[in-house]
Amino acid sequence: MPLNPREQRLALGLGIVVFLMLNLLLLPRLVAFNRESRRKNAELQAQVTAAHVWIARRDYWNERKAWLEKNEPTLHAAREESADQLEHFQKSARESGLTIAEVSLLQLPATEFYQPIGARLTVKGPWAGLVRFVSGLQNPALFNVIPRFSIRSDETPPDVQCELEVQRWFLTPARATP
Amino acid sequence: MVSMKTGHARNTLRPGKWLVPGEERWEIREPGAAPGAPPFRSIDDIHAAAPTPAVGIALVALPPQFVTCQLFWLDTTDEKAVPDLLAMQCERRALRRQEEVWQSRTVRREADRLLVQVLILQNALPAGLRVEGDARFEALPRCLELPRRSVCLWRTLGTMVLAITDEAGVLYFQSLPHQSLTPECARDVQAVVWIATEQGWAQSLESLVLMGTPEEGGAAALPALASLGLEVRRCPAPKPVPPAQPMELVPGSVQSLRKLRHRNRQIRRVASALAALYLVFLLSQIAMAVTQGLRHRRLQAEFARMLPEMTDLQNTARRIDALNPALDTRTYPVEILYRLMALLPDAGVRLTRFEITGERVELAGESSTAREAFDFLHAVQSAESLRHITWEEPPQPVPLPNDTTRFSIQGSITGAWHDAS
Repeated sequence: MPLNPREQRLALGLGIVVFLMLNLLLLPRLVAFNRESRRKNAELQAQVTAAHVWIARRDYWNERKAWLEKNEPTLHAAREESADQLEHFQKSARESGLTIAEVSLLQLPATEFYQPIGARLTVKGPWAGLVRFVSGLQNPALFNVIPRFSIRSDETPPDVQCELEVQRWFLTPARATP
Repeated sequence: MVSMKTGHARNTLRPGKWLVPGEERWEIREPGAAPGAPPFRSIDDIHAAAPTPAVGIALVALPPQFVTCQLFWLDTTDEKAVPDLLAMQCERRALRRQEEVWQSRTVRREADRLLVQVLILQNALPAGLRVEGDARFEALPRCLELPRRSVCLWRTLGTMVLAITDEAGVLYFQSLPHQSLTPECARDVQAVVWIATEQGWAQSLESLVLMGTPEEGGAAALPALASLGLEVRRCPAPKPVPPAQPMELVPGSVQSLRKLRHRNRQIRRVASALAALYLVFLLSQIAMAVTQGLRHRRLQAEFARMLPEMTDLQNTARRIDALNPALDTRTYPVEILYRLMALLPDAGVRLTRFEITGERVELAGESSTAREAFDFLHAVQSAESLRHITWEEPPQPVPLPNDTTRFSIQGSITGAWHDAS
């Protein structure tokens, strides 16, 4: 049954009202969705850009990773490593003309990246010998760290007295496992 | 009285049917139809036409009941002065009414005066008649093919109408207050013709033409008409023809209707433009949602593809950062000490204490003078070789009783191994 003009106008008005109501309901959500999408995409784009930067330096990092894998020492037995370390200190001190006044082993906790084995020493002797001794301890390939180092004049100048803590950082067992 | 130039005047009439008053009722006719041809459609009662607007009508021929014709002799030959003189003449004859529209044209020019025809249109259309669209309005006598140099008489919508023509066309017309050609009607015709002759409007009239259907009783009026000295003859109802010069009168009610329609069109146009803008906005939002969704998927896929390798590289970097104290030779105590000693002057300054605890570096010494202490501390702070150590502002050197000055400075090792590479 065809609608008369008044009914047509009413139907049109009703249609417009329903359309506007739907839009009032949906449009803010659509706008908010777009705003949120833009924000997320901007974050994602930043992450992608960062990833590109990292990957662009792939060779740089892989070269260092390969060097670490080749040179980082692996801990097999802590006790034996401590004994070897002490023996090395004594030998090196003797060769440098130093006297080891005190020595004590340290119990150090493992970290995510390394397992330290260390000792605290007090050595006395001539300045040149001390320099030779400490220089011999530190080399990137040895993975030795000296977190504490104190040097002062000895009671019998020109000798010096040095207190130091030496740690050797080994590859943690978890990382060492292929 | 309002003079209107509505902009609807055209020299050519658009095609379409005409709404023409017949003898008794309104008729919709084809223009140029032969006299006596049946109308396209009759409207028995113009009131009955009210609910159905006359759409598609090109021309509405208004009977003299709704268009008054006046003739004025103006004592000027200056056309520019015509409107003002006409206004005065109309006002003098009490014709000036705000609800009317009028149009004038010079119908005869003499040496020192002008004969001006004024058509005055009532504001309202005939009751109940509604005309929509772009119809033109004309006075009925101007739309009929009337004989020249004649006095014409015929019935329109049940009322007698008189028109006087000269060699150019319709000169004057008026509605007579009679429903048929009676002796009284004939006397009124006599009066009009005498006035026209007296005032010099009508010159060289030749005939008096009775047009349309012959009426019972019309014969009684013929003697009075014959006394005018014109040839009296009969002819069929005149054929509707387009007027030579268009009339520019539009009834006020139609003007209002057209303004309303124009305003409605503008409102519709603005509403359509707003709706189009809204639609564009809505579509752009939807398009944006789709585009953002596609972009998100593309970025996610790209990131997922790169993530394993990037994570591996980042882990390597973190590992190297953690191992930095073992790998960065610049942080070795003996190296720092060596670089510090390189800054010592040849004489006057000596170091008494050097300590490293974690990232903290502490240095103490003695100098012969305070100046030497200041210079050494400044050299330490600005040394390029020690830029990986951030030095704190040192305390003031302290003079000692043995003519020496004691100084100290502290700092922190900063900067990663790979940064310095």
